[in-house]
Amino acid sequence: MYATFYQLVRAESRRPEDNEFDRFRLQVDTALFQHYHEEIRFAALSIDGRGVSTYGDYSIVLREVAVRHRATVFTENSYLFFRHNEMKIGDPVPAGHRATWNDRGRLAGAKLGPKLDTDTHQEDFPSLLLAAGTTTANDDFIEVHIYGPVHRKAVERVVGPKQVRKADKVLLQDLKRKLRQVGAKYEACS
Amino acid sequence: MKALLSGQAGVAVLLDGDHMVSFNLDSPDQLLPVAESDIPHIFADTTDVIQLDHTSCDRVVDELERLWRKDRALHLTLILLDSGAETETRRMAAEYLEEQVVATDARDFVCNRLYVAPLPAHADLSGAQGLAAKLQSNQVSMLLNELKRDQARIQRCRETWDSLRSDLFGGIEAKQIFQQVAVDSGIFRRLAGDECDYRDIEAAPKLYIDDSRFQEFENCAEILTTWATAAMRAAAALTPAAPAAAAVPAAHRRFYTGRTSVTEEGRHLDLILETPMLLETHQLQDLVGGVSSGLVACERSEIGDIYRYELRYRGGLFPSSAHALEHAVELQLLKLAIRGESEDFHGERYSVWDVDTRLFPNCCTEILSALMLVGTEFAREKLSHIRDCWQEEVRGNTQMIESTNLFDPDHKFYYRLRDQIARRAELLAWIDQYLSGNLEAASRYAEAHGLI
Repeated sequence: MYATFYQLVRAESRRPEDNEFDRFRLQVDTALFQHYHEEIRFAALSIDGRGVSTYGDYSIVLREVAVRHRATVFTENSYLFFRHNEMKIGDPVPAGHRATWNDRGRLAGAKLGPKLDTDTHQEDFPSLLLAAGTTTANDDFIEVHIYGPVHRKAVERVVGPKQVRKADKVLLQDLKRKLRQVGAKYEACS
Repeated sequence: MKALLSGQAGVAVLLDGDHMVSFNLDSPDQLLPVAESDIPHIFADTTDVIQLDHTSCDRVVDELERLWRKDRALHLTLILLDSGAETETRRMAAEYLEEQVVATDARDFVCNRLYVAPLPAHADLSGAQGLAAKLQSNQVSMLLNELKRDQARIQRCRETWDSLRSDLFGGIEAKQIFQQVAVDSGIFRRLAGDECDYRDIEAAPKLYIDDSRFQEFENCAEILTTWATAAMRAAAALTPAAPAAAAVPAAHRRFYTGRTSVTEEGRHLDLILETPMLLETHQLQDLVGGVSSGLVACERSEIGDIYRYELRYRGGLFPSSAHALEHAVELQLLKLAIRGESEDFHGERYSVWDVDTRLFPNCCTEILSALMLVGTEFAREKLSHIRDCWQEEVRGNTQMIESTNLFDPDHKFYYRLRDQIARRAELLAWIDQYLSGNLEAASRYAEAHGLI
């Protein structure tokens, strides 16, 4: 099971860092998910399966059938949204930035429509929808909020880099076996 | 400049004032800007982050490579031991692990962790040994052989650790922190390893008190003394105490090693091969004869203990060898009791083989196991030596059955020994093939005779 940050803290298997991010994070999550913020798993909307690389080289693509009935989407990284809009504790989240899973296309259209023009091609869509920055502070993506546990069988595939070093190739080989056991596969990206 | 590094992540973050950049081990020249808030993400879920102060880029790259190698060596070891992993993956793990554990620090890192607790039941240690032997991964073979040898000690050492009260440390969390330091510093391995004799155990607390990693624990000395003492008792329960050399009469002193004779690097291989070799050569007859006559002739019980200790210690590395050795002594004792004299019936050095042939299959298995485990030049040398001894024995026994046949009217003894000699000759042929590099023929023979 994929546990949330709050569940890990409560289980004493992780401790909050003494930094601005972790302090502000609780306020943002409480404002967005009143009384159930501990149950929310965060993800990003992606067309090609690549995740937000500033969080790591690997990303997990979830099966739509496993999350679509319990997922909503948000216009950007919610933490940054609160920062950009200088929102304070108790401020209501303005309308127009959130949608159900089935309406994710509409939210994406509302956000990215201005960036589309006649020179935009289909192959540009993945990087428009999810643009990893140089740091997490300038990532741009549509955040997905999933309510409830995420089981490993919800994993459709893992996307990650090609391995160069021999030892890492072995680790990857074993990872592929474990993925096959849950019906998932590994996809190497360039 | 400061740096944060993790071998698990293969990433380093360089901090120079407010300027922060990171790089991946695969592309150390590609520096990426980092925000302070990203650092927890970069090192998320890693447990090996270290900080270097007043350092340089070159040193950071070197240190990162070292940390990475240690981490991957551990992962490769776990994959190699994983019975659920695919054979090809395990084979690759054995092959690449050999490259990693050549470095002493990587080898120590792996061993320090493997000695913390016994392997779980589903670990396939024998399969891992077989793969390593097939690939002639000598370092890996040695590591696995030692691990197998020390499993019982590891179990006892773990139990003694678990039995230490947490209030001795100042609470459960403090005990966990101490454990991590103990793992890193290799105390578990030291206390559970074969090289740990009684003097070492008693010296252990003093050695580690000077280790800076233990400085933050106020009662470090008490903890280590308590633990080492418990480990000493546990080890004593596993291995019979070595009697003092002074108690051994000069006539019997040649059988007494007191566990102090072999300390050089190749001692493990030596010990693996020593026991089966003893079973087949004159040294075996020497040992068995000496132990038997010592047990019969000696009125002082402590001398009997010396022989039993010697027997158990030498045989302890291979249980079936120990069984065979004990069996040989029993036979010899039986013979002595029947005849009422301490002289061997034939007065020859082949006496044990004359009486019973059951030692032989046990010995074959052990020799071949040892060979499978250690496909090294050292093993080949030993095997060559064994072959020479056996050839001499075959010659001696052939002469002997011709003479004893005159006193063996129904030829039972003759046929039994003749078959025995024939099989020995077959095995000698197999050894010849092996030593001459004809591995295919050697494998065919071994498989056909159920030896491997």
